[in-house]
Amino acid sequence: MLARTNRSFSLITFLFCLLIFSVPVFWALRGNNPQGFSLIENRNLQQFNPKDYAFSRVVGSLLRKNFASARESFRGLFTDRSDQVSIEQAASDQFPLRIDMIKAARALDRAFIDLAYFSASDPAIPTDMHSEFLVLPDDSAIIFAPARYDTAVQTQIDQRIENYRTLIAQYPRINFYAYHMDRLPYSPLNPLNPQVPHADAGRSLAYFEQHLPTGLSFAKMDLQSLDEHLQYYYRTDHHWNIHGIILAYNQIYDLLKQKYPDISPRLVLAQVVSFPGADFLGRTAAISFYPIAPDQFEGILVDLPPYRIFESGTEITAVFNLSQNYHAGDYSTEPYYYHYGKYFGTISGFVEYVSANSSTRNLMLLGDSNKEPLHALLAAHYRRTYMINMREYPGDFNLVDFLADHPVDDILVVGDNHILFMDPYSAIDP
Amino acid sequence: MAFASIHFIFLFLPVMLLAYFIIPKRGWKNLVLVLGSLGFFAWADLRHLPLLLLSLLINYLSGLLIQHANDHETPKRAKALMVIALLLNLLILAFYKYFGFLGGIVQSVLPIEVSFPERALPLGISYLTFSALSYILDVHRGTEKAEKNVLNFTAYLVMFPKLIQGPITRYKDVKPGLLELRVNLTDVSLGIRRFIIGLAKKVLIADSLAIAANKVFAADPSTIGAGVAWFGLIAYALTVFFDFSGYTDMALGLGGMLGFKLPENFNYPYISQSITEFWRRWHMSLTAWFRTYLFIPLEFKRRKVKFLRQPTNILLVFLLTGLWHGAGWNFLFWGGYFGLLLALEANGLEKLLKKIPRVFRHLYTLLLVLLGWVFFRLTNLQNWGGFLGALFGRQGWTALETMRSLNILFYIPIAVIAILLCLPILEWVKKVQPARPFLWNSALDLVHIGIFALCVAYILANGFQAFMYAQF
Repeated sequence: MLARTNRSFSLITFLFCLLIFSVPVFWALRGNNPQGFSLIENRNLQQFNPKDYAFSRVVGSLLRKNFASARESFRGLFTDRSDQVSIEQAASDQFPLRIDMIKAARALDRAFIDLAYFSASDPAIPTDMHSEFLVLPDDSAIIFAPARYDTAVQTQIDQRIENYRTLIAQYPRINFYAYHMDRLPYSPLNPLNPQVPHADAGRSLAYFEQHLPTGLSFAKMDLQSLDEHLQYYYRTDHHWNIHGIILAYNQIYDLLKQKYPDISPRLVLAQVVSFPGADFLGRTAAISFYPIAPDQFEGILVDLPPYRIFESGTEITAVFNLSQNYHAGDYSTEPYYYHYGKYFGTISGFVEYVSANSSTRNLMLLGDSNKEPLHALLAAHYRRTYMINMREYPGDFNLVDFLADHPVDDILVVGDNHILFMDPYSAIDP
Repeated sequence: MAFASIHFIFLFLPVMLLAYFIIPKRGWKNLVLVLGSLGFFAWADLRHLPLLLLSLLINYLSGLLIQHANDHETPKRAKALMVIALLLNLLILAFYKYFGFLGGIVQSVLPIEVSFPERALPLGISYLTFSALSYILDVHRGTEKAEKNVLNFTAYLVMFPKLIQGPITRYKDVKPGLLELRVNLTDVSLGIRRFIIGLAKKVLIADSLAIAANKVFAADPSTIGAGVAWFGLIAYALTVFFDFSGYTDMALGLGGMLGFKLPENFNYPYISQSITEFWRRWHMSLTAWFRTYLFIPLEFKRRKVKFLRQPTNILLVFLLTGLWHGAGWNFLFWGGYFGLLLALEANGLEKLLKKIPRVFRHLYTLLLVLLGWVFFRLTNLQNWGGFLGALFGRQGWTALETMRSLNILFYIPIAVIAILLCLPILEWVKKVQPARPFLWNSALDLVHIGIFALCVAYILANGFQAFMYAQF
């Protein structure tokens, strides 16, 4: 294969040189027209910025006879590798046909996966070699692998149960509610459970329910089959879809009504609307790069009392979500455009809804990005609603301090097992 | 700067090749090689550049002074200079590579708390040091003349193809390339093919199997059965081989493109029929270095010792081989383990092995080599028992963690391909006598270019950064 032959022409030398020289030539010729944003990765791509590199700054400073600045930039060459990292990242990000080449690599990955699972009868197989996602037969949905359930998880649950008990004891005038959303990593409906001996398969939820703290009002989605589950969640994303949101709203409404009997009438959520061309390829599709058919993105038309949204004292009502734009027909149709975030609202650590209704009660709603679509719906029943995402909360959250400025009557936690009773960071510091 | 990276292949390499081939004269080519290699070194960490320059200066001057002492027949002076040069080189190596490890040993006997922090390793310091040591020793022995041309000397020590992972070269290996204008199209073509083969070994095989191996070794050993443990260990053994030999292939390929014939480092080690044969096929440049500069001199020095001379020499050499691979007790043990096996084979075991069927000789070798990788991989000695227990079925064939729960089932086809490539299949292809050589070579060229494009796609795919909770 590597035999030595005397040649006057070498095809491999010609092609190899053509390839390795054409890329830098491409970068040079393209000049000031780099690839700026990667929609599928949802990030700004690194660009070559020769003028910003320390070496350029040294030369520039020397030419300007600014020796102090030159010395400082020169020292920078030795103290960090930011220029190297920036150039390395730019070379990768600005590579011609980058996404097409990544697709080719992932296609080969999938060929190996298909080969490995050729004779197996698994109910779901990995989408790719990096993400840990699985795809159901006939590419009907991308799902998560079962989560682990062991004594360490049980210890975390015990700690969160204790946390709820402390809160309930310490704040007897506040009503505490928890709403459980059924997500496949923890669900008995996960089709891969039989093949994963330590799969959660509903055990963590069962344990939590067995030890449910007295005084915590609890409700759950309680889905009965995988098909039912697939109705309520996107096939290409880790969030629930509009049908899951409607189900959750109705169940939460019933839950809240137990201790809030004069809650305003239930909202009528019957008018689901689809947005032609808004094909939704969510995060699981993007991360796995699996060639799956997109979800049809849908929203809802509902009559809500007027409300205003504030973040850190600044009104953000017009920019928090773009649902009005969608209903006016103004939305993107690009693949991998993140409709969920745009339509329901950006992730924020703390936003406040002030509704123009007759309610005198205030709600604190805690959860992750799955609670975003519930914001406006639940805010319709309260005077003020405080939406808190612990992971994004600016600074350390402390309930005593928070209540001093923001009195609340009801505290509702919405989320999956992780948010509700596993993750220590999602616990409320009493 | 890793060879298997976009910035190396599409920024550094084109600039380097362009500058190197535009210049017609050998001396100027060497200047380009030196500047490029220093840039390559500095890219990793500019702070270490002064250290590299100091090391170059020490070794360059030491070589000249030793040569001068040899020429003037002052052997004691030559020896003293040689010892000083060796100590200085080893001191630098010890300071950077073994400071934390040695400090830990000292700390264990000290009654007070003293800090011995690990230091960032200068790029390729182990390879650089051993190349420098071989140069000093060769000049002292008179088997090599000291290089007066500072450019040639610098190029020998820092040339970028062999800087990161070797092979460890002696000056005689590189000298012809530094002095003669030997680059021709055939060498360049073969170099490109070799580079691509190495890139594929690294990117397509080693990097993939490394994920599988890491998952298995990261799992709690009490949760894995023998099946998963063996798969993880085999994946690790393949990862080490394809990673290291892939890098060597890339180094040899790059050397070939620039007109240098660097020594081979691997010769299908996993087909060996004894541990002795394995070490003749594995990391050959390091084994040759230790044989030439340590084992043979030890044998000569201790020739009057009758009792256990050779076994103790082998053991000492392999303890140091282990330490060369890393500063840790596990590496020391790993070296000692092989030293012991080699000493046993040298003293009768290999003769016994030759009497058993070949298949059992292969199994014997593979089993012992694989077990050796457990000691190499698990730096914490406390984890050995658990993993060895899993290997030999303490939890049965399957346990809590399965190939599916670890999500590594799909690495099986890659492992199978890798195992096949551990056999000398490519050597058989080499022997093909095509009826139409031009067509055959062109087809092979196209296959190589296709593999190259795939490798680039994989490197790009590894940099793909889509996150679940990217701000939206």
